[in-house]
Amino acid sequence: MLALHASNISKSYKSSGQTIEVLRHVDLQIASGEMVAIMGPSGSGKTTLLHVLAGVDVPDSGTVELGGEDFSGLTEEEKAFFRRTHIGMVFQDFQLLESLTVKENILLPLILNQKDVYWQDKALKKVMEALELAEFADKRIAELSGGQKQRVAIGRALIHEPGIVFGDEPTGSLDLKTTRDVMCCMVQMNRKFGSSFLLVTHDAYAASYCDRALLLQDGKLKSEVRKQESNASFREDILNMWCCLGGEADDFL
Amino acid sequence: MTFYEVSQKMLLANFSRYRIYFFSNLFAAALFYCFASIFTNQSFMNGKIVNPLISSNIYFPSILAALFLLFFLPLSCQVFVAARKKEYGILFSLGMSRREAFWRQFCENVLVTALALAAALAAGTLLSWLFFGIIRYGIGIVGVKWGLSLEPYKITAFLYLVALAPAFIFHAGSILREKISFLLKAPALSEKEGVLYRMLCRCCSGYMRRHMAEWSFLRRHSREWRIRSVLAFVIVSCSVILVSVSVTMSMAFLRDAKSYSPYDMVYSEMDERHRVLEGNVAGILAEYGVVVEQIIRIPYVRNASFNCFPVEKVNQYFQCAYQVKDGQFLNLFQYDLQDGYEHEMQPISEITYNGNRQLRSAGSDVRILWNQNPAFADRTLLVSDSDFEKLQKDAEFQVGVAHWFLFDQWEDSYDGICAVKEYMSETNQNAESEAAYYEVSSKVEYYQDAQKSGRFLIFLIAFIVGLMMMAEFLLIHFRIQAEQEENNRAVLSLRMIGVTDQEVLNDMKYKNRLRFILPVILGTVFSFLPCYFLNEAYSAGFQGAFAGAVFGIGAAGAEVVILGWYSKREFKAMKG
Ligand SMILES: Nc1ncnc2c1ncn2[C@@H]1O[C@H](COP(=O)(O)OP(=O)(O)OP(=O)(O)O)[C@@H](O)[C@H]1O
Ligand SMILES: [Mg+2]
Repeated sequence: MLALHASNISKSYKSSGQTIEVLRHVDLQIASGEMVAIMGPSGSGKTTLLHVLAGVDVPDSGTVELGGEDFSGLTEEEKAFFRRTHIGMVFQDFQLLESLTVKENILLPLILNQKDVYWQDKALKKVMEALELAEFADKRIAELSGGQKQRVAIGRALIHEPGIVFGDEPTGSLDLKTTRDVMCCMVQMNRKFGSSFLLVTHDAYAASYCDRALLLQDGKLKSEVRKQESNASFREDILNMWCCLGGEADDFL
Repeated sequence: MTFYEVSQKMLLANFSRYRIYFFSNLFAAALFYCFASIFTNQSFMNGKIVNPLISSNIYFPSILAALFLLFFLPLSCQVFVAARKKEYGILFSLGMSRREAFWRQFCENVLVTALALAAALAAGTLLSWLFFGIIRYGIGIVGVKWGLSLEPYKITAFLYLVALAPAFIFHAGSILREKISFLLKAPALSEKEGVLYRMLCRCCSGYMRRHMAEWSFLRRHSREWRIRSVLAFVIVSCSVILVSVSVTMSMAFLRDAKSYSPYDMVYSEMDERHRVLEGNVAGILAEYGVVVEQIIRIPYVRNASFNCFPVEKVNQYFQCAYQVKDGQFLNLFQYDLQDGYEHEMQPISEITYNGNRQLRSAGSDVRILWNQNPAFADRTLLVSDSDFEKLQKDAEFQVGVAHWFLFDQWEDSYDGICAVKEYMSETNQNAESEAAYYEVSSKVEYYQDAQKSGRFLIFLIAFIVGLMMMAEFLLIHFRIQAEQEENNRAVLSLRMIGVTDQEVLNDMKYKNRLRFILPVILGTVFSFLPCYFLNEAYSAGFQGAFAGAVFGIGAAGAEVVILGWYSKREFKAMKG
């Protein structure tokens, strides 16, 4: 539903006297309702890019437009309201609130949006079923496995049906079957509400659910493959892209 | 579910953090209130009821308690707010606005701190009530009264606000200004290497590598560590100084009681107004088993500002060899210059009597010859016998006879002296104000008063030092409590990489001792010289410094034991 238009994004970190340039003049466009996968070696700046795009971090230079609006130009207050209504975010390290239960964590975006209990229950039921979390509803976060936590984080990102979802390796801790379920859930949302998706992933299988895959390397978006006819050929393209960088095809299996 | 309910749930889930925050604030405020209620108490600060030398001891720790409040509250506020950075980072990433976060923090803080203040004032009131109860009924200083007044409450509440409000605005504000990505990584990103740390690493790299985990922990918390250490240092050195001063001072009270009372009983007959038959006095004393060994009687004259004694008689009875010519006098200051008090020793240069006759000063001497008595004036002059006779005839002077008694056993003379007092007041029937003037004074009473003062001082100091040491131990307790989560994680990962339980425990003990004992030792060492010089005023420099050192070493020992025990407890809590 929301188109993303980022131009000329640069970001560097200073640590112990050294400056690391993580992102160098990155341009990225996502059409409304598009699903995009970003791949790249570890430490290439995928998380950083995602954080900058979602407004969690501030770029050194460049602008981010979301739905035609200059997101980086908003005040903190406006950003907060924009985020709670239009953005869903899955962090690489989940970032769940340990003091709340599974159910409460998932409900947080609706609570912040002051949706009433009727809506909360309805949305919760749908998400819980899709992500097979129903039996953990009242458990504490500390009692969950890694994959379960990841599903909670995904649930929290999807429950308010945001215009755009940023996922940082959203299927990184999931098995093949659950990966498929989760990706299907996202695709369904994409079809039904037109939500855009930007997913960072190492998993060619998960990436193959997207419409487009990008490669981030040395702080730049290097190459890009598009889904043409079949999933299978798209997956092939992704694997080829990966192999060009010295990866092994087996890495994805 | 509403946001309010979620907030409530998070509040309850974070109960342990609130509890630490609550109790730190409660304790700091109660501590200060206690001192405030003492130094605003009128009976305690009344020089006639409590020796100013004792009551002035309250200012020093009061200032310390105020400083403690001013440092400790912002510190606990900072720790409390910092512990929740990550939580706010997550909520911000989900779209909570900064304003909402500010109000949420504000409400929580006001709730916790207001409750803590109320509890602190209640606890402080109870504590000060106990304090005055013990002074009054335990030590027997009946003039001291506990009373409720608004003033200490106002001062405490004011200071509490002054300490907390800016700290809250600053720390809560820091969360509001911070980038979300920083908040999400808050605990891990606050590491900073200090100069000291880098120097240590370079100088003793082997040692540092062996204790890497502990030192990196300290480095991560170096800010809190530094402030805490300074506080602990100040607390310990003040405690050491107070203890040493109280020990030498209470010993000095007893010594002074003896040195200012060379004789065991003194009274004075005065013109026609106060007549006493010496034989009756001796008889009464004998009834109570007091054997009189010697009685000295010397006539004297006095006016409002000085006494004059005939020098020949003084020489004869007190084994002196003063030479005073006619027309001259000698200023006699009966002070012990080593007693630690300030003495006013302006000699009188000349006196006039019978309208035009003059006597001039021939010098002065400092020596205690006899006990003081309410009937004597503040200053004493020795004059020649012929001048004394002339003075006696001057109507401006009152004429009296001083009587000094020496007993074989002054320690048992209290009852006898009370009986003598009773006898005198019966025979003379003076009005009460007059009677106080002609009172008998005695060594045994003076000595008992000194004992009481000494006990009182020691109790006061014990109370103060007890509170301060409690502050020190609570500082440790809250510190360790506040770090528990981080510790848990560290210990867990250490055990996963194969560190044994015993090693973990040793590391924890090492870490805790490393940071908590150092200020105690430094405080003790650095207070040695102040102790020496302060006590040198009572000519007990070394004894005072020794007493302080013993206390300091005792405190350090207690801390070693407590920290060992505490580390074990902490470790057990982690395993469980
Ligand atoms: N707060 C920070 N301070 C300093 N350097 C940082 C910080 N965050 C990230 N970096 C550096 O920026 C680079 C990119 O980090 P980023 O987390 O974006 O990588 P990534 O592509 O997500 O890697 P991975 O696939 O392993 O998650 C890394 O080299 C990292 O060391
Ligand atoms: Mg990453």
